[in-house]
Amino acid sequence: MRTRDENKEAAIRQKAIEMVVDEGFDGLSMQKLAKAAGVSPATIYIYFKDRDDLIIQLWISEINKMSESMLKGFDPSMSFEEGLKVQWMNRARYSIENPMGAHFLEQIKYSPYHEICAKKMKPKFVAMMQAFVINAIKRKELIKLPVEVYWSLAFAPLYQLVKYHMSGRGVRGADKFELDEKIMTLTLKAVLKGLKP
Amino acid sequence: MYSETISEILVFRTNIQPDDATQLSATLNTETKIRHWTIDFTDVDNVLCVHTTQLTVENVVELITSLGFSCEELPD
Repeated sequence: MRTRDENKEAAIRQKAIEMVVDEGFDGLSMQKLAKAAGVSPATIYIYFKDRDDLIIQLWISEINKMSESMLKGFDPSMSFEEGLKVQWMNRARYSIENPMGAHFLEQIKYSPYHEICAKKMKPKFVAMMQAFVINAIKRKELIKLPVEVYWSLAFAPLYQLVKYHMSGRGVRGADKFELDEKIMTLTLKAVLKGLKP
Repeated sequence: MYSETISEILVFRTNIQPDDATQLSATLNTETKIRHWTIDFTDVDNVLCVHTTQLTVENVVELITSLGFSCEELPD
């Protein structure tokens, strides 16, 4: 019986994410991946059933990593203002510290893999996010909106700022931009204003 | 790495399509020297994996090409 070599598996996973981020899903082949990870193609098939299985397994570990970091210090019974602040800090930290993983998750979202992956989302995470919103609506801290509208207003401004931060440049290109707590608090205040009943 | 590959899982780039699976199963399932086999149709190389300790790369290539498919060892 062959034992799993964690270092090999980690190298395969890391290189596969890099390949998808750099070249898209079509850029990932098992043969190219084997070469990049310094293993034989047969080794990859010890760990993963096929290429789709590999992609889905990558998504599962990355989404777990993201959910874990998102729930740090978060409680769905928090006031809307406090809870959203914790989430903003956690989401920004995750995206900035894991640019490859964050980009990979985005790619999955707009690919045919999304449907399969969405079904594997941990119900606990989804339930916590829902409970947070329901609590806030009940306490009249948040207006009732279609979920896409809520998400766009509550989080898209943050992710745009993260993008500016990652590029190091603001709207006019030449200007330096850095997302700090002061900027985040300023933005969050404006966002909360728009979401209050 | 080399010995690991040779003794357990042999991998090949093929042109086998999902529709060919039935025809292929008939042959591969009756070959007692093959412990287990799979084809990755989700990869661009339609990778055939053959788990065997008794067949060589050449044996498998011969077997698959005799069925009318292209088959070459996937290089490391």
